[in-house]
Amino acid sequence: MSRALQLAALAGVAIIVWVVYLYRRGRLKEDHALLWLGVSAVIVVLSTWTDLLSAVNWVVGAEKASDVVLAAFVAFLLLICIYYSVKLSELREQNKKIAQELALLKAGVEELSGSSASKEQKDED
Amino acid sequence: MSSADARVLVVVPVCNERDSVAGTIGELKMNVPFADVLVVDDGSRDGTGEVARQLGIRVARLPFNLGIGGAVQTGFKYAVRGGYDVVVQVDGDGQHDASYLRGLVDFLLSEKADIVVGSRFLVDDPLRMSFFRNLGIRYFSWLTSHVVGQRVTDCSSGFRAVSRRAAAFYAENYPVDFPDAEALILAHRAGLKIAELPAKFRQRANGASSLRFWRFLYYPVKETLSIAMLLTRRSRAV
Repeated sequence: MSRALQLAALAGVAIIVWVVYLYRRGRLKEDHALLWLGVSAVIVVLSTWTDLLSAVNWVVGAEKASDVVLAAFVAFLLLICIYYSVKLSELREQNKKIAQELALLKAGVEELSGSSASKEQKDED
Repeated sequence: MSSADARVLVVVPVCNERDSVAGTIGELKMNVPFADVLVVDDGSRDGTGEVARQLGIRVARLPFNLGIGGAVQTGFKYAVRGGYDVVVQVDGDGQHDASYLRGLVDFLLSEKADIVVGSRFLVDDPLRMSFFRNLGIRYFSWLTSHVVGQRVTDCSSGFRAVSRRAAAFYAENYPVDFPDAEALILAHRAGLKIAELPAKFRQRANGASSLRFWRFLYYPVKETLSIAMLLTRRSRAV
């Protein structure tokens, strides 16, 4: 096993440990935790199971074993960036709606308390 | 219906316009005394909303800055809930001459259109603008005209009156960042009728345009993309 693959396996294990830690502390939601666990599991499996890696290598025609792991990882990072962009846009839309609702509700409350204040004023008169 | 018995809401989106908002409100009270005014304070940090409130104006204050589109849409939502017949949009910086407002409202109430835009290019002596600004507005007006199949001279005018039907549509669908041209195209595709009337624009009283210099480069690209994307979507009639 090459040094690069050893390092990849080590990194995979480190990510698993870190993700489990974050998940247990409640700082990662289930779906995200599962996603990252899946990814790191693939890294670990690919970098330790040399026969599988060579099979994949043969299929994609890569020259070096570690190239496959690296390329897969870069592709995955790109995908996840796009996924996050989608999520951010969604959150922005939700955020806008909440802000608008809040502004309208506050304006409504102010109107109500204003009109009840002027009513009290009249009652006093 | 005449403007006397129609319920009219004037929406004034403001952001850090403390020095000009009182003037705008005064002008509105003078020119359209029959209308209700709602100031939408888009996260001002200079107390613009407070100034308006002290003048006895209703203020919807957004907790943070949403951008002009989000602020105007807040006004449409308010109008729909309040059951208004006409919603007019007027900038808080004093660049729209409120004496033209009644004409917009009357035209709308004659039911010839769902959206009436006050165009600064249809008056005899249009306000002089910088070369790039002029170019940008002409380009987007040309683009908008082609898309909606009628002549639009001032697609970036934020001086507009819209019907109840159009307000209900905008309350649910309104573009966010630089919404004016896109809002017209959206409305056209939803089957709403658009018209333009002449309206005088003035030099902004205070504050800078929301279009800063670096955005002159970014805005046309982004806006063109977003109009192109709009065209690939299926339209939905209201």
